[in-house]
Amino acid sequence: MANPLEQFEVVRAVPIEIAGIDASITNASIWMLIVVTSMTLFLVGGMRRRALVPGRWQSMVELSYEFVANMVRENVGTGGRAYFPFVFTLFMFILGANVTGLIPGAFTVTSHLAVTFAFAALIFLGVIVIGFARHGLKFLTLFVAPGTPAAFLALIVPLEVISFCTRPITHSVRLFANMTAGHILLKVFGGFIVSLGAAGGVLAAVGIFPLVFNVALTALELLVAVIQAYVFAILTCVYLNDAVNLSH
Amino acid sequence: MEAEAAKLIGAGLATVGMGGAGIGLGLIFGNYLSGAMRNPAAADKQRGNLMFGFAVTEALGIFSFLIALMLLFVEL
Amino acid sequence: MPQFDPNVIEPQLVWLVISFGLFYFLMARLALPRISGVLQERVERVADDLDQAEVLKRESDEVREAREATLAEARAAAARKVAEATARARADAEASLAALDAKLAQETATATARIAEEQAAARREIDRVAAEGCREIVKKLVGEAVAASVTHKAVEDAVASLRRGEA
Repeated sequence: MANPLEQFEVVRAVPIEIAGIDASITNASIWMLIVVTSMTLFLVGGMRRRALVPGRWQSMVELSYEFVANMVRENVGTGGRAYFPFVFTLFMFILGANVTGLIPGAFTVTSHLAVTFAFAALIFLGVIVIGFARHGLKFLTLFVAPGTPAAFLALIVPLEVISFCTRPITHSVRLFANMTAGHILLKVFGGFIVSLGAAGGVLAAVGIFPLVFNVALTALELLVAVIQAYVFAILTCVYLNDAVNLSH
Repeated sequence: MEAEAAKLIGAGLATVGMGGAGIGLGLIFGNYLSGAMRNPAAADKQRGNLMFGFAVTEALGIFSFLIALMLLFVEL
Repeated sequence: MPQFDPNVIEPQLVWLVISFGLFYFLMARLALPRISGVLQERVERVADDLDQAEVLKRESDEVREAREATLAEARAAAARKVAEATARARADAEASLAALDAKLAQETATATARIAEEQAAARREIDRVAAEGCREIVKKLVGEAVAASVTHKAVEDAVASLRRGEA
């Protein structure tokens, strides 16, 4: 059976090095560009008619816009309008990466911790910067839940700080691990199909079961791909809400 | 005990954590269903929360699965 | 796992920055303004259409009110004319009826007078015939003529006594 981790291998197609930084074009970077291109085509192409009564494609584009806009409005409030383009871009990029990753043979950009952690760290640092810029040192009251008795502060504050600092880790690992686990599962069952088929005879007939299961699993993974993009975006909104509104 | 054997045992033990995620998911969907049976009109509005809870809880099971994978495949 | 291979982190980050930056630029400059423009335009258009519908509704209300006023006026005029015509017709009918009544009464009166006259004449004739007959009978029985006035008187008395008996 082929190694199920082989699909995550990053292969350098064109080795490039600029000023000591390894900027090689890899399959990962090619797929990032594919994601960007396809999502841009989807979003811009859908609006090419600017119809007042939208067609099917334009409806999909508008629906995704409204979806993210509602998410930002409900979780961050009106103060979050400035961050809407970022959240929208983030959601669309992750959604595109997750979904295109399900194409057989494709590379899943978001299955790499480096990528998801880069997003999570950007959001984490952004939240800190926005929080201090908006509220100054009062931002530190984020770690003091209102109504906490003074005696418990010594206990509560370190816990809050720890939970705040683990945010980028859980935030990034959630997406990365979901994508990785899903793809490994698909690959493992794919391996079953191949090895059962190669065995021939009765075993080849039994191979229909992992095949059916894999089809169902692909549907589940499509759901997971969308939900994880949604969860990543909504958690971004929740974290931004801390920085923008500073009220527990 | 050999290090390789300990890794395999550890990977197996790590998957036990998925049981907790399973219990959590059962609670989420069970409570959603019982709530939806009581008040079907409000069920649709809570589907977003359901999916969110599903994803966040499922991620914990995935974490333990990840630990197992790391024990099995990461060479340190 | 390839994810934990430190060699591949750097190129991924570089290309992530490039592609995500490009995507953000495309979204912020190209896609989002278009979508929000169309949505905004639709909201405005709908509001405009609603305003226009409001104006049109008001206009149609005015027209309907005017029409109803005209209709009520026309109906009142018609009712007045009908009432006038009815009154005139009734007056005419009453006048002609009265004239007819008068004429009929007059005719009845003349007819009654003539009947009475003819009755009286007939009665006189009967009396005369009876008196004549009486004189003839007396002449045959007695063989002598009696004065006409005597027989006449006798017949009158007999008729009078008959009438009394009748009564």
